Amino acid sequence: MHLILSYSDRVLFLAYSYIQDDTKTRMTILDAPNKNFGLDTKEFDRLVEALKRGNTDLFKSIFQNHFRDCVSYIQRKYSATYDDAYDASMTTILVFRKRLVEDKIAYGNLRFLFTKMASQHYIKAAKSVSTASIDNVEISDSEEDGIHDEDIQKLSLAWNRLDDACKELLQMNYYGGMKLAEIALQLNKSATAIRKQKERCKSKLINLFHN
Amino acid sequence: MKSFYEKYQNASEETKDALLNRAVNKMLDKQLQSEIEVGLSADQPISITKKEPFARRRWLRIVIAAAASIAVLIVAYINLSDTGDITVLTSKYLSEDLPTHPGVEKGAGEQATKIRNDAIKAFNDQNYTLSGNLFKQISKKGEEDNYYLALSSLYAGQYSEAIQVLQKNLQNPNSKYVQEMNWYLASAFILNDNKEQATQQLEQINPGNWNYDKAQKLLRKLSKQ
Repeated sequence: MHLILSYSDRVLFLAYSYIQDDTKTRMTILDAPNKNFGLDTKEFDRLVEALKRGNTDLFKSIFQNHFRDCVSYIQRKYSATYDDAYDASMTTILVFRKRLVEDKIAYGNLRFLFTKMASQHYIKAAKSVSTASIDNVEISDSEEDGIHDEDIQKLSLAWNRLDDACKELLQMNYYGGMKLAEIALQLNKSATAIRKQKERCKSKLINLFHN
Repeated sequence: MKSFYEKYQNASEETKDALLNRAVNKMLDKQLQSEIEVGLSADQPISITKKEPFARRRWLRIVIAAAASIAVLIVAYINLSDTGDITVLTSKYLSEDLPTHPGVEKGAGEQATKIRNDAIKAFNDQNYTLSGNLFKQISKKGEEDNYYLALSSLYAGQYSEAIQVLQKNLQNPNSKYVQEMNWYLASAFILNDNKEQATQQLEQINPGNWNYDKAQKLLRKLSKQ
């Protein structure tokens, strides 16, 4: 049973569980933060909001703490090497962030979900290695989307030279998955102004990339 | 194969947006990963460079032993003969004189940021890919940050990027690192196989400048090739 409750709801339910002497409900409510990296629903909402705005500080501190447990779990469960368990856990952190900003992950049992996803990444990677050795063919991500490591390095240099306003806007739109209308609301500007600003920022970034 | 820039220029407006979106996501994911790795290496025994226990990796010991033997042979070859490959000689010069970051300057008037400290630590630990990523993330980079960013790229084998950053840094003729940057830029050109530009750059290193003798040796080798 996954409870999606606000802080005040949790207090009410907890009080109710004591009155009714309902141990199961009481334990579920008390255990909720444990299952969700110590976050209650409000903190979870704040985490997602921050990620959408491009602020990853809270996210990093939470997942750094859980990372070691996850690596150990995969090593234990699948007799995986440290490196493979590490890679699976790191991939999961990045995918988890993406799903959070896309509102595809709800408060419930985040710890379990994260570990489950890391296990799936590990199994998938292990399978792809064995398939590659049979077919002698390996297609990397960069070959699939045509964006190579060198491009990313150049883009990173260009990004560092981009002004803060453009970084903020592109980060919210691209990395935070926010729609331009939402950004306009957040930045207290009109949607048209934000759309035009985005086009200018894209041109600036590409020019910096090329020069 | 088309480069990202060519692809972008030839794409429709919609595709351009999707392409840039993917590239920015990839880049920011890499930055996030670096930051998490720094956090992991800073506060726990788990480390980004930690691998399986060394004793269990016998094949690794064999490979390292073989590599060390080859390295000794190469060094001996260079020392005994003047006809060694110029890239090998350049690599030798770079590896025998590994730079270290002196740390954040005292009294610089700026509170050292955590990210800069992490970058310096990674650089001095010779984890150049990580230090490069971290130096890039410093929002207001000073002259020193840019200098060590360039060295991180060079020692990480990212020669094109090192060249790009060094050329930009050298636009400031009053930089306190001009002599060092002339040397490192020449080295980056050699390792990137830009021999003509390497020659021009080596000629900028004058008598009395840092590594003048080495520059002359490299120039002589270049003229023979």
